[in-house]
Amino acid sequence: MTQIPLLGIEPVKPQAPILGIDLGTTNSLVAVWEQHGPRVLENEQGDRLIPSVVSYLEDGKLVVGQAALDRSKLEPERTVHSAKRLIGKGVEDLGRELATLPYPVEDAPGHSLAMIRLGDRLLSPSEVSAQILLETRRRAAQALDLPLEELNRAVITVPAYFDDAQRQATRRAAEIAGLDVLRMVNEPTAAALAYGLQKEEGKKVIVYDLGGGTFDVSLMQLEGGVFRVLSTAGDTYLGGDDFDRFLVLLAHQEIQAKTGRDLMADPASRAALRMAAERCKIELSKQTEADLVYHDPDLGIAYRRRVDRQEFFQGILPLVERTLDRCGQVLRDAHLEAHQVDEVVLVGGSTRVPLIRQAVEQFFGRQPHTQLNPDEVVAMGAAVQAGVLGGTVGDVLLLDVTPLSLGIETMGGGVEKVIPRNSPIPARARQEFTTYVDGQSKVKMHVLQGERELAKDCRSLGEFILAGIPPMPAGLPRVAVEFTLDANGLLRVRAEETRSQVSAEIQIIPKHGLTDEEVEQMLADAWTHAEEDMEARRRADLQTELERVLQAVDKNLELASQQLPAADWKRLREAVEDAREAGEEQDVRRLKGIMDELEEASYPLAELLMNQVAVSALENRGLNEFQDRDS
Amino acid sequence: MEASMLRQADPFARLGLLRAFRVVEGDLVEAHRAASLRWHPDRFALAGEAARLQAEDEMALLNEAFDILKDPIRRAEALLTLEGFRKSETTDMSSSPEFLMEMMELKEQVAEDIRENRQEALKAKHQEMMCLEWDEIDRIKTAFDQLEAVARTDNDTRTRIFRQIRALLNQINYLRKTREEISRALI
Repeated sequence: MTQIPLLGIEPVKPQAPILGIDLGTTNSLVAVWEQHGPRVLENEQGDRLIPSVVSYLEDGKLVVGQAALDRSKLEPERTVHSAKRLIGKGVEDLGRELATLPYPVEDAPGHSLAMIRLGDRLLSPSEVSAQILLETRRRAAQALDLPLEELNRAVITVPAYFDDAQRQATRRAAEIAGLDVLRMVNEPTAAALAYGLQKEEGKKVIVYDLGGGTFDVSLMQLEGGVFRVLSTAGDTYLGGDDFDRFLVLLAHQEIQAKTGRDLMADPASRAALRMAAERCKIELSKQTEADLVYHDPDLGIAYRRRVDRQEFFQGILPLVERTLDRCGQVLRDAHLEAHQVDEVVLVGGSTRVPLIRQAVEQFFGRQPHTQLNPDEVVAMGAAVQAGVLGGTVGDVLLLDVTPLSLGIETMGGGVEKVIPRNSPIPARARQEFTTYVDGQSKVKMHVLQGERELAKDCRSLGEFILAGIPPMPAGLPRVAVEFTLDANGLLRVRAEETRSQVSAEIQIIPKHGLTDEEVEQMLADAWTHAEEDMEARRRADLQTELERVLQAVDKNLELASQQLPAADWKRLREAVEDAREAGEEQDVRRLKGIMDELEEASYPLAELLMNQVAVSALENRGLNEFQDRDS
Repeated sequence: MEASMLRQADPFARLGLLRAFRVVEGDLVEAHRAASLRWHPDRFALAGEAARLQAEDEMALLNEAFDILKDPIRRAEALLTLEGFRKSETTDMSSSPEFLMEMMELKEQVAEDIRENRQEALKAKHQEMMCLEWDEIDRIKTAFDQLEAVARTDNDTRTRIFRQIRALLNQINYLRKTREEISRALI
């Protein structure tokens, strides 16, 4: 299907690709759409995952990703991980989560927005997420060899079960990172896109997405290129981190019983314990038993304990059952039975746990799809959606729904639903209210999200006041409230007294959000020196790489001069000379050019060397051994 | 009030479907799919702010029409409105004493099951409510069929059938509320 031509719209000039970003609790990834498929971008070492970790160093600088994860062992108190668990939340929403965070959290002055306390710094989760998003941009700039400023448009994925405040806060993070968010896509929907299931005409598909910190399940129906989400459910406080927690508590209790030491009291020990638990969990996905190991020579602790799958599974079973309850809810909402589902897709690193696979397979009575890497599939789907928005993927469309009902508080603390959950988005709905007191000139609108009957049990999204209603007897004014939910799942509320035409409107941000001024300040902070730092880093990386290739070539210069054809030898010699002189080169683009040329020119030499190695291997070792190594 | 009525427009017309209670689900889904491919904001991602907002608006209306027509109760309500039969004309319509008695008994049982958190019993009740709902919907279907056979000038018969439909809708709404209550207890 083609887009409808609209008058007055300039033809679009070729632009840098739209980034598809999976902003995860534990890891983030970035992918782009390329000709026939999505490509997950990697750094020069071939790493695709960017740990969602930011370290704030003493000198005011910060490091992001793997470097920050490495640092977190040395300086846990300066490192923030799992910021996604806090985004768009107030301290009072966090509850028992609070105790497990390695850093203190407090409400921001002036509004109930959880902020992370690192020494004398107070950071908002949006600010931290922005740094991770910036890192994905840098990764893309590097991998695609494009200037950072051109990579300013993105599709970002969010858990389907994220509420309005969490979506708004994610959007703010993107703003701080200088990204124009063309669409926020729900993670399970993105995963279905990545699997290219649109070809499966008429089928019903379940996507079970268990990530590091969140769980989503979506049921969708495929109709000729259209993904229609029928229902969705989830839990934004359930993920692989909780599996780790079972092992953390196990080790903590046993160590405390034996040594009397409370490891949970110290952030550094807590972080180390968490990593030990994670290692053990990953091992248990591959083997039937694994060691849970924790050493601390300073405290005289040498803890090693064998955990078998049975014990681990028993420990996480209640969590797994919670996810299956949600699966049941999704089916009920769509009036379907488990056996009517045609395909099941597993997404998220935590679905590598064998118990999860068994449980899901049993629940739906069919073997789930696991062909694509569960860590990468969401980013790939985001790239497909980027292709759709950019007009290069023409035959696909996502029709998503809102995960939670939206409503208004009524007299007596009840909730009147205006948009019920699982309504297709974008959506618009109106509801009429009236006054309770004669001559009432103001009406307070309290906007809520959630399924519970009482306002106090739902998520409060914000309040606003419609004032200036002319005096009328109670019950006579007609206050029409209109909710508009856009394709990203973001809400806008408008109220109007239709007799007098007094109106008021809010984009829901105040209660848990950041003000525009705060965002501007963070924007400025995030970008101070970011550009220069980035250039300097790339320069340093390229120079190291150049040095490495030069050394390799130098070692074999004699061989090259003797055995390479004259033309190849000449080209290599020239490239080596240019590279030697490039030590002072400041321009990254030129440096990259020199690097590329050196790599090209040294290719015939590399081929020569490879052939030699193969020959000598065959000569020195028996043929059998060689085959063994290969198989 | 008048203004908001106008805004709602005709959901059948919006999706290009015949105005009737009997809607083939496949036709409805296909009509919505085709309209979505044309109007979804994703199709206008790079087309500028104004076009995108227009698409958001158009798509929201299409989704609303789809939601109304998908749900037999809302579909019936929409038809009553389109036929000019107002809610206020039905205040005297009440359900049969048998239905009310049955509901009261059921409600008591449900309340007890919820108190004792009998998940299996609740699941069975949920199923039962659904079946009762379908029975009522079948009755509404028959009533609309009858309506079509009546001459448009025969106001008395039309009004009688409208009232009958209204009463059935009240009963369904009652069933639905109870079912939602069960549904909440199941989560």
